[in-house]
Amino acid sequence: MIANHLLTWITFIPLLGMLAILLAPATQKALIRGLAVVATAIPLGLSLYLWLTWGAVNGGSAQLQYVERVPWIQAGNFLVQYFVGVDGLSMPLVALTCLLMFIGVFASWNIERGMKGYFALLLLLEVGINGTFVSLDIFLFYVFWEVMLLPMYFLIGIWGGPRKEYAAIKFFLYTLAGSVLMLVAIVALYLITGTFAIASYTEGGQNMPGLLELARTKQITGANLVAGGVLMGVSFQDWMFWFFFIAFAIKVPIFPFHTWLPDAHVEAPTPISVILAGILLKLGGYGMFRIGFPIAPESFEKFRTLLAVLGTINIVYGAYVAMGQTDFKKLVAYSSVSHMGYVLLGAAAMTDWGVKGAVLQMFNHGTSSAMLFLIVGVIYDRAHHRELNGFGGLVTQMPYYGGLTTLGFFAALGLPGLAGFISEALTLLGSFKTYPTLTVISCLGVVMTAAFLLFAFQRVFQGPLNPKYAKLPDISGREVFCQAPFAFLCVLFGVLPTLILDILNPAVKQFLLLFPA
Amino acid sequence: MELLFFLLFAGLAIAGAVATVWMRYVVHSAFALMGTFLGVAGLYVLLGADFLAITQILIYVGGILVLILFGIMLTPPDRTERNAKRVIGFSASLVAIALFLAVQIGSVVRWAEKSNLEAPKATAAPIGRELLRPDGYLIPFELVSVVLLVALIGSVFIARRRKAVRVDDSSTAAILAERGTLQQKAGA
Amino acid sequence: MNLLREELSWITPELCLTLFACVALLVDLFVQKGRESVMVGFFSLMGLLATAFFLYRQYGVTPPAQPVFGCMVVDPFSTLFKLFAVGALAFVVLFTMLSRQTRPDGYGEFYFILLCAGLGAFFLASTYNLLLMYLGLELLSIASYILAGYAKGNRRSGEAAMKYVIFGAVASGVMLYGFTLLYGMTGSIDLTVIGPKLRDQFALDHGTIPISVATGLCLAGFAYKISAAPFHFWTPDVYEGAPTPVTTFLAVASKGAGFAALLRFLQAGFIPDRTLGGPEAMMGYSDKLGTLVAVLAALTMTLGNLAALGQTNLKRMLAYSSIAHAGYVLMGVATMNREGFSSVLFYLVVYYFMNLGAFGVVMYYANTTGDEQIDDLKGLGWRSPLVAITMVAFLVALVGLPPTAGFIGKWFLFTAAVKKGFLWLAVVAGINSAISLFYYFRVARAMWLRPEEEAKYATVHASPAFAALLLVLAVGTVWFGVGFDSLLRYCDYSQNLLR
Repeated sequence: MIANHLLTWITFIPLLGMLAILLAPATQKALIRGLAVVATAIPLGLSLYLWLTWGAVNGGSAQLQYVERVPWIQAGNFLVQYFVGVDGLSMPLVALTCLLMFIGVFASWNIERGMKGYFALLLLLEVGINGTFVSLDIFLFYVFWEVMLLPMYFLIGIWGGPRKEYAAIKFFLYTLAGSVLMLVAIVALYLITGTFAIASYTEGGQNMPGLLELARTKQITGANLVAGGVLMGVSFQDWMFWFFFIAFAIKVPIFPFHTWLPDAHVEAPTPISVILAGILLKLGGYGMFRIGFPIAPESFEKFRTLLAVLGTINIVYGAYVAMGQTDFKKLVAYSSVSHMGYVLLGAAAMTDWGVKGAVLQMFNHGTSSAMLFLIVGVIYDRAHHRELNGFGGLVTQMPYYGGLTTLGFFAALGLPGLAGFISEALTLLGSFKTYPTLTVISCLGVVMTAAFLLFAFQRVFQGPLNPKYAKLPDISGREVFCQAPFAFLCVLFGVLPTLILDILNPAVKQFLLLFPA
Repeated sequence: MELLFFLLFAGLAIAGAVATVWMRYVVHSAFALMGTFLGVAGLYVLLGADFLAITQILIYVGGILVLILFGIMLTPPDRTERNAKRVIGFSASLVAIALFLAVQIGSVVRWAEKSNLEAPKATAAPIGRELLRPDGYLIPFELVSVVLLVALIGSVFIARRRKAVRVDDSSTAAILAERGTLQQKAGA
Repeated sequence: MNLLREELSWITPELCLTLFACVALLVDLFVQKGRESVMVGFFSLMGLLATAFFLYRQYGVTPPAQPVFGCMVVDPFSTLFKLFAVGALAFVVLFTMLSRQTRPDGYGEFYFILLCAGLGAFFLASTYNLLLMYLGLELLSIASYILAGYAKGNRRSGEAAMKYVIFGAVASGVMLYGFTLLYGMTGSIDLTVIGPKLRDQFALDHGTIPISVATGLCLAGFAYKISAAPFHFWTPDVYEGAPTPVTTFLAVASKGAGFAALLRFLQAGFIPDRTLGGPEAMMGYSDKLGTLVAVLAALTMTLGNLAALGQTNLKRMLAYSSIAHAGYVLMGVATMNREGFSSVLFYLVVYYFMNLGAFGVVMYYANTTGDEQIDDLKGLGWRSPLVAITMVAFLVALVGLPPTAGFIGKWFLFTAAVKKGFLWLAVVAGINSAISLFYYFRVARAMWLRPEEEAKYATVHASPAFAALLLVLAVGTVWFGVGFDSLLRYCDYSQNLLR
């Protein structure tokens, strides 16, 4: 029962949790927290099961697993399916989501005001994220994609910092603008193909090609929608490619659509920043890999150099701006911009290594950035400010905290032996074959990342101790518990990258097959 | 002979309409309007629509115009406003004429024609029968009665003097404050 | 005699509604003072329920081949709109019963006029006869004028009524002129006759100017009723000034009936039967008309949205939003095809839920605070969470985000427009949706993002009845965003104008 509908359970158990929380009396704080823990722990357990049995079930193939497909809306030719499934591309991200949400609940332990609403929204957010990752129907995908917006708006807007209203509406408007473009593209795709399925499936012994299959076999030309498939001098496929790309690029965020990110990160409460950086940004990357690139393979081929340039700009520009920050959280936020640039660069390279590195980078950035934001949260909870120059010498006062921070920083700057190194190296090695110049420029970003992180470390932890903070307590057990899983994953995948690369390999090969050689 | 009468009535109608718009005093306008009504009634007679002609005189001249005169006599004259309206009246008539010309000249319009028309005879009885024939105009006829009822009740409703209970936003707030539902936050 | 009885049986809903309108008027005289609102409202609800029952019995029955009484069409299309009107009226009656903004007398008259306005909507939706269509429109309009001025003694209400009367009189005069021209050209007031006659005119290739003038004048009348640009100026003032239940009626029932008549008018007169094939000129004319409507749609939604951005009064903001939504719906009309018309029906049903809900919440806050300023909603989310949560659902639907019905409704409108080749219109509508987020969420921001301490007013908890009403509407709003296939089939079935 559970194994048959594993993904459904993973996706919708938080929804049940949300309803339970809404029905619980607001005064029973322990009960509400408990419900939130349970509602995130079960999906985490299930996704762990998913991961650990992956090789056994899958046998190393690139096939979609745990597929469920039932008609959702059926009226005439209009068929939307509840069509879900995972492959090596989405499965690690589902697991990462479950982990981050579980940790997010613990990181939110201190939230007192409107706690009931907070946890309800958090769980709704998890439904949206997991739903997006597992959807294989583009309509379903869009619905889940938008479901994420509302809880995020309120989570930033209600529980955020001083400029929360501005940050919240900016986040909402940016993402919505992207979604509207995506919606137009989806409408057009539906009118051309008459199907919403992303992946192919068989119905009554008949093979029903999905959108990706149709795109690979060059059946999405748009000729039946606009004459000759050319609209205002631009081919239909190009339109679609850019619509999807911008929608996802806003989420990643790719320069120049990144300006919402620092605001949202700085104003959001710590757990929400963690989730935002850890998983929401990956949705953009995932969307590109799942839909955005393969839906318009020829356009992708045409524009991928441009994408590589954008990726490089992201890497270098993000790191450069981060160097100038004195707000700890803003610095981490810009480091995210820089790190997500690798995803685009690796994807644009279209080599086995490059793509693998890009996908792995999404996962690794999920763990390392989550850790960094938790680290910022720890110091902010104690000192109530994040000004880097206001600290100093904390390593003697908070040795355990210093230790964890060191690990987090090293993971983020790509020290060999830690996870970040593997993905960044793979990406750069892979892209060097295709874009040697851009890769060399990108290496500049690596150096700069190391510089600003170490410089930040120096300012916060070394030097003379600021007497104001002589009595700061060291990191608490709950905080260690929150960071430990990420620290563990950073080390684990740094030492044994094959654990995850074996999962990614077939999926990446499959991905590359979607493009004409 | 018929043409003569047609020109007479049409002239009366048009002159009346022009005068209605251009007269300085509202009372004069109202009387000029009577000319229009009578002219139109005359045109109806020429078309053989005797019932319509009588109705036109009874309702418009006998009813509406008298009502208008009452209205004018009970309100003080306001010349400035009238002058301002003159421009609007002028331009409105221009627009109307332009529209009509566009319809008429812009193309060879085929107005519907009824062939083998019988000689005109009394129309009151057929109209009455048609109004009450189930497949004729029974439903519109009945609906008109509902419309009139609504208008009647509505006008009574609006005109009726009521016991002094004003309801506007401030008084709503006042009432609510009385009921103790509206508590200004202390210090806010 | 039997024939008469059979014909009468087809108009039972209308008869029933008229009967209960009169009952409401009379019951008022016999009810204890101070309880009129509830008692008369109760009788009106009974009447609406009975009417809905008769309508339900007509649904799915093979419609009569000939128009009943020579002028009334009973088909799924009209039945859907009548059910729509009855449903909207029921909520308006309930809102009135729960509202404190109403004056303490004249309930009999109020409910009578309200039900008669519903009757006007009934006739408007179910006839091809221009005379009857005009009479229905007038009944609806005259009743609306009186209702808008219902809160007598309130200056704004009186002003609203006055403005409404003047604009309305001009619009209906213009429309009547259009009808007259059509009659002059075809010699008939029956649209089913006018359509073929017009086709002949097109076939003779006499130019389209007279037809265009006639059509334009008629469209102006419809545009006024659905508050589409450039005939939308009355909307904000009237919506703001009228008592909230009446505003709800104007925004939902009146607008719905206007769309019903517009669809029928266009279908019968101007859309050639594609299967039979009309003259080329008519095909071209129909497409041109569609393009005109598309331009109007773009204009309407943009003007409505931009004006809504600056509003501080909640009701006024919703008035502009209703203009914008008229623009969205016109997208479906502009396609001039079956799919587009179906999407119009679908969107109107969706619109029904989200707008009734939003106005319901406005009324609740006006009851509580005596005010309708957005700023005065500050922190109220924390004070009365249930109402505020339902409001968020309505707002999300109004923006058009999944998983609410608003998204699905827009989806079908977009699809229909893109399919017809109005890609630019879909893009304009998309941008407009994104803009609308900004002003709709100002309400959400005031309610939730401001802390409880900023709340200006103490909370009066929503009465259970009121909370239940809002919940029903909110559940409908969300449910039709998730399980909308039955509604889709229902609307497709009801859209029997174009096959």
